[in-house]
Amino acid sequence: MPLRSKACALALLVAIFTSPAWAQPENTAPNPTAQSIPEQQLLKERRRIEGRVTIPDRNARILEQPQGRQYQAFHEHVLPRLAGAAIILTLVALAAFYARRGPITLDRPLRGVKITRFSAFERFTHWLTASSFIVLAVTGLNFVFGKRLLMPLIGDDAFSAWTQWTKYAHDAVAWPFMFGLAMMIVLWIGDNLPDRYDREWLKQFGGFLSNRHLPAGRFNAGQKLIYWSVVLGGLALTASGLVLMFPYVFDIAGIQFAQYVHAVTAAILTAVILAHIYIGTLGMQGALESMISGEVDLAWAEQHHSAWLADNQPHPADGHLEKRSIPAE
Amino acid sequence: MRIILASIMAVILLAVAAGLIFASTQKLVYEARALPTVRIDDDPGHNLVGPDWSGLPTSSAPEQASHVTRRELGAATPE
Amino acid sequence: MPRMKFLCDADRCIECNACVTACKNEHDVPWGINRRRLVTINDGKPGERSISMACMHCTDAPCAAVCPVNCFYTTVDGVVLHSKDLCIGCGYCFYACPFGAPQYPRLTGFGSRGKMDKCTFCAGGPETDLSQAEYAKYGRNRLAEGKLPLCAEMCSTKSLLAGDGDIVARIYKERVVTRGYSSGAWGWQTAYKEAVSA
Repeated sequence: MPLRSKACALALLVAIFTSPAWAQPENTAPNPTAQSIPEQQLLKERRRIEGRVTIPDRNARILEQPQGRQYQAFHEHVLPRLAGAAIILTLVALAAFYARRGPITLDRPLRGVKITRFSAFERFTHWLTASSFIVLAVTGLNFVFGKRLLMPLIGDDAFSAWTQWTKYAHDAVAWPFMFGLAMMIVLWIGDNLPDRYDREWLKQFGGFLSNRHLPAGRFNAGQKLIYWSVVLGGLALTASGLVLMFPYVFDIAGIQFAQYVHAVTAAILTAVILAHIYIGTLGMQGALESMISGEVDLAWAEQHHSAWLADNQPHPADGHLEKRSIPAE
Repeated sequence: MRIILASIMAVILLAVAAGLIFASTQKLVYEARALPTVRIDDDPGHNLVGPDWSGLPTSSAPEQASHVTRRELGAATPE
Repeated sequence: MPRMKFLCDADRCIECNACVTACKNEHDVPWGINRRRLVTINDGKPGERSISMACMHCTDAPCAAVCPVNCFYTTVDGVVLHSKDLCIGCGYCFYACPFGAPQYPRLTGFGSRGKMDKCTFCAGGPETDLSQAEYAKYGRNRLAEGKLPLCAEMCSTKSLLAGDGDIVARIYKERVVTRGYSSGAWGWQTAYKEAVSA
């Protein structure tokens, strides 16, 4: 009994353990999601993965948008370097120019007779837009550089409170800027169209380096470049800024694109305005006065805007002369 | 100089006005995304099975039964 | 040191929304704020797939990088948290987040969107652990109690896994080997810059 039953038992055990029922059922389960599209393929085809959600919010539909990483790279690497370089290079160039050339002064004696260059409304519009722009530029730069430069100095809580208010200021002051920009377009677009003096003025770089005097209309070619930079840049900032202010009208890709446009345009325009501020204050004698009092001496007009002066010959009067309105070139 | 001060005043006035106008139109997400099936402001307890949904056993069992009966009869549940 | 991660097994998720309900209940999340949500791809068609998505607590978190007031911080466990006291509600973190995790109490960007809220991996915030202030602002802090996030605990099919990334990856790999199929760990490449090899 013992040996035979043991052998039988052994045979039985062997039969059980090698039977197909006992084998590990590897890789035989049916794949219930075999027909669905893999993640990487969805990303390659559609750039982002969206689905359906039960939440009544379109933004919640996004499952994955890897473009957020690109936004991170732009915002933290490209933008600070671009804005920093634009501003620093501009300031260095202006300083070098001032050191070498100094301010552009009157090369002839004052005539003592003034002519009106900018009306009160024009000056009001300019300063409205200018002061708005300064607030917007400073608050905008705070978003880029604040945490790097200012936060270590004043601490987390103070910086957060300050940035909270710069955010309100940026959103609110954008509206007077847009209003001022619209006024500027209406007031000065005619005088900033190209005229016959522009080509020569540009070719000789305005006479800045050669100390020559070139004829110019009411605005010379350099001023026209500034004007069009402000108008076109300002319109781009307006459009992108409105998208950012009311972000849920567009989808995430639209918002990211708006941010790219807004940041790059702002950086470049800030550098341009720094040059404009330079020439309007330090860079040229008599320029600031023209925008504060609105009046310039005839000698200044002769030197810098001779064609404009010729079209606006003064009437004999008691020393204050009104510009005759004539059509622009 | 007066023009510059006037323009700065105008910036401040326009900015404050814009801020007030837009802040008053800003919506809270729980209002904007509310659905008819979601009751935000109601106190909990009277949009459910009955006025007393504390989960604690009530003193009068017949009242509960009558609640059940009323619902089964399809009568309107008091809001 | 454990590095906390989420992994949603997209082949097991049945869109029951238990994770969503658990999160909303545990942290008293107001209506309109969706810390965790279920996204269904190809709903109703063959190849339908559902995935539970909240903050992935990314490596080199984009939200933390773009914040203009640096209100984010990463704990030693790899959990990405933020301070609602410093937050100015600008919305940049939403633009940068690849998963749409940041939520705001107010619509439109004008003024402020209010303090940003997002999944905290049930790890609270910078307030003192397990204090009333922390609960009011950030919700329950389960990690300080030694527990794991409630969404993963409540998942009815155990498709949502949360915990140490190595352990979670190992569990997922064992599953994949046993059943023989896998659609990969969704979001891991973007969030953690690695894929779970299975």
